[in-house]
Amino acid sequence: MKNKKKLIGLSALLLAATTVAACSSGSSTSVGGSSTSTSTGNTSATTSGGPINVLVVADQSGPNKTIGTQEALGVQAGAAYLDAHGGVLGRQVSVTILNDDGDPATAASLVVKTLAQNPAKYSMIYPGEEGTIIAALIPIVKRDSLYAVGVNDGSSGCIDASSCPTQFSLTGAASLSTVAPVGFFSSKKYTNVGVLSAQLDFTQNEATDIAPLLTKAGIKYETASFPVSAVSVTSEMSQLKSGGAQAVYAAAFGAAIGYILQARAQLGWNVPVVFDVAGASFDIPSLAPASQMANVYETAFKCMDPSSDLSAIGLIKKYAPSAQDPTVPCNQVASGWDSMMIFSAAAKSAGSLSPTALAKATEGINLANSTATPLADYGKYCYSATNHENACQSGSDFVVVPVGKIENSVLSPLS
Amino acid sequence: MLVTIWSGLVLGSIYALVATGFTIAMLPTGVFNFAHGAIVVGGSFLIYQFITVQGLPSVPAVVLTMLAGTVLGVLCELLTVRPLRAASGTVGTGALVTTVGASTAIAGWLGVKWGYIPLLVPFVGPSGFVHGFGILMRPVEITVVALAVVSALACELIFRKTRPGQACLAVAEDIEPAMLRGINVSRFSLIAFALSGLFGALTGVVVGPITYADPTLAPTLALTGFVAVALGGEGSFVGGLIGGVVVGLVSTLATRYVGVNYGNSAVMVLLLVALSLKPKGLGGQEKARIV
Repeated sequence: MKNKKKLIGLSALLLAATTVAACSSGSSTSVGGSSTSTSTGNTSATTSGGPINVLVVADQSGPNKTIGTQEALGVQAGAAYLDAHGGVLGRQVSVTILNDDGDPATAASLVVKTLAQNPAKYSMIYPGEEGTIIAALIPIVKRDSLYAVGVNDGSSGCIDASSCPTQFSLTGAASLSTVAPVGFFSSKKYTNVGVLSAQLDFTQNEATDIAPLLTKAGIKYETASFPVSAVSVTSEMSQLKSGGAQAVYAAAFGAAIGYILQARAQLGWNVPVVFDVAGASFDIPSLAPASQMANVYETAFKCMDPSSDLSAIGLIKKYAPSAQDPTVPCNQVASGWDSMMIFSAAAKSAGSLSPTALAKATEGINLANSTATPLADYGKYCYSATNHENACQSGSDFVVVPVGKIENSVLSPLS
Repeated sequence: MLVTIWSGLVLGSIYALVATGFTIAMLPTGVFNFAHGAIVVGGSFLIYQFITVQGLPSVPAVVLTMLAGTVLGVLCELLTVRPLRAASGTVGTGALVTTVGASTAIAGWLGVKWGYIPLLVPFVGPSGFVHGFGILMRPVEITVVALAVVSALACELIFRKTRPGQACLAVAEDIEPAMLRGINVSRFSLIAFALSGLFGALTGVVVGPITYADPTLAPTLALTGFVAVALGGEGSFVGGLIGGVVVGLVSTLATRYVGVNYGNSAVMVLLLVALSLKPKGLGGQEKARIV
């Protein structure tokens, strides 16, 4: 009996431990370094000689793992490429990855803890894998005057440089990703489009951004939103159908993609559905039956188009320390890569690793895809003293294409 | 309007199914098993695994899924409830913590095993659409609504009219006299959790094709199932059914006609009003000896 109780006690302890592990704030373990150098502990960023330390904050095990691991891989590939081409200011690059477990609070506490030991250790931060994480890190990056380059916070938080004096976003205005869909609707001569969006910052912003572009193109529109907890959007799609929409622009991701296509079929409606960039980051054909894939389009990042002229896609494969996830779109790994190219260009221009010098240099760079600076995410990057989002990103960085299967991280047409 | 009502009814039936699973475990134990939402989601993942990945025929796939749900239910009881009862004789509010912990552990494991990208779960019944009431309905939706109604009524009948069911009610009413009358509380507790796990997995089988298999759904299901139980009246299967359907309808109608931000608020306002007028819930009864 006593043993039985002990067994139960142990089992409970095991469960509790599992639970704690599942709930825990992620690991602060360094899970990677660039392939050619090792971390030297407390080396100051400004000290010459040792490796340059880059800190990547990205989910490696939680809900954003699929994008976090790829972004970290992109940084590692970029670091390896730079190392193979003389390093940054002649020094090798060491990459440390903090696993934020997909949680903003975890990301913030891990970064604070890591930097408390040696605030000057890291010359560059890749500040989180997606909007909410980045939003949580912006105040920390600003407070500690860290140099950071990464994707944006989903709300154009760095468009005002005073909010992010040393932080830069790879992306420009969110509205740019809505240019291509409006072009698509115009080319099809639609006069009435339904705009359906999930109730999330990013998707709601997109829905707001596309409205003036539709008006400018002479297209009437009606909007409908659904909560992220919805398990059906038939009612909202029915609303758009009643409004006479000839096509639907859908700003949604995850299971909602399937709900939208399901609802269209359920309403016996076969208008084209164009998914936004968030939706395109998912393997859309895996979220609905093949019978519902007709007349479905997605707004893809240029790198997902196999005919893209972005030159770094092949290089990432060559320099990444491990294989890319072929089911994840290339723009994730591309974000990590491009952030390293910007960092390198800024360091070269500044001749220093001081965060303020790097920031000032970044404000002056005008980086275009070339043999010298191979880019993977967008074709151009430029910033100013007042705007720390990518002012050179343009609508042509996105394409509207028929929905495809993601193979080797690019879109392959459905058979 | 009909499309919206049908959507709300389907959503409400999902909540009602979760509420029924909660009540099966709660009646003989008094424990609100917050891990039930995770068991439902686990059922969705398992049916996906058995049919889509391993290519098993529907019947063995469903049987295996329900078997796995039963084991999961038993494990929940052994690891989250029994140690508490062994330590102090009663379960108390400690079960709230341990079952939430179990829910987190199960959902976390599902995420580690299958990832966090929603998976399309196949429906074991017919595909296509059925025309009725002027709208197109999916067979899986009709199944969910039918199962919610039938299971709630059947459970109500079983628990009120059969001897084991009445024994469960006796335990729920007052554990000590029930034990004195020879009812093995531990065994009833284990059986109740096993049945609840089995039903949770079955719920996952029918709900998965609608919700997709997604580990992040576990807490949402647990929470909305809890609201359905609170609204319908703790310990009442029919109450849980009514509560679930009302929550689904109010949430869907408010989202559609008031605004996307008002779905959850409308449900909470309804819950507050209903509980202030009828503190035991819509189907709850004032404390009186049943057995």
